Amino acid sequence: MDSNETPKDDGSILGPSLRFKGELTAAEDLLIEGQVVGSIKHSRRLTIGKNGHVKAQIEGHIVSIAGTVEGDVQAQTSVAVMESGRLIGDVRAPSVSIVDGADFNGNVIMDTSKRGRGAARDTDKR
Amino acid sequence: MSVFGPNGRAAGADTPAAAEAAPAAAAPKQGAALALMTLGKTLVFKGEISADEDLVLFGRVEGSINHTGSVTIALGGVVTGNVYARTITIRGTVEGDVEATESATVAPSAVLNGDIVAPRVSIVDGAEFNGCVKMPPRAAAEAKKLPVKAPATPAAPESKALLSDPEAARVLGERSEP
Repeated sequence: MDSNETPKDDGSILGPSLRFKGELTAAEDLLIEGQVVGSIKHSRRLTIGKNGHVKAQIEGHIVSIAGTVEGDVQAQTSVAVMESGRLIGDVRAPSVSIVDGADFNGNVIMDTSKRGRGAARDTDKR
Repeated sequence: MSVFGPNGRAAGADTPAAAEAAPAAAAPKQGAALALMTLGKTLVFKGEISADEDLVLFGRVEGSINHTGSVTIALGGVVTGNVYARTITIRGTVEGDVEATESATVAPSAVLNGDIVAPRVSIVDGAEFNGCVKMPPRAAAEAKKLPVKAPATPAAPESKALLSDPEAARVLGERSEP
């Protein structure tokens, strides 16, 4: 079981029993199945799992919501609200998708100038 | 728990761990409550964390950790704040007090500036530790564990009786949060 102590490059999972109040920052893929209250600043793929419950301002790169989010979501690349997702708050991202069946109440602000060529240029830089 | 393997193994790329994590991510059902949770090295928590699942921390926590299971602060992990758990293993850095209801282990790679309260404490040769150790009598520690073990019982009269104990009130109060 010692191998479990190896940091995984494919990101972290915040399990269903985890409750966190405060400010969370991360630069690795993150799956939230627990409860987070506060704010999340993230620079990669952030997924709110089906059991996840987040009451926070979210800033991320790619945000995918399959659980519940109360708060504004801002992403540099895209925001996706899955069928099981529930979002109460505003979304600001160059690309937004809301799957049929999702529960969403809020504004969508799309800055499309960042999409397409702009996004391609961003990825070229990496 | 073999998490406490005596060889403070340095973190290297290991595929089994990644392979184990994949199904957990795909099907995080109720059974996952016993799963081991890993908080990666880029994660920074500022605030209060509580959890029941066994926790391995590679990242940074500024605030307190309230845990009912086993917490490992891995090599590279940094905690500035107090840690409460059943069993605590420190291989990284902790600036704060550590309180375990069962045992606390300070590995050779650890740096701990703070006090330890636990019925069983081990400090391995090589560890850096500045603080005091308090070992409560084991009987008291056993009594302390009881209210933690029976959080799900909704029976109100019994919980009222338990509430006379301030420690039980604290635990139950936290547990009743949604």
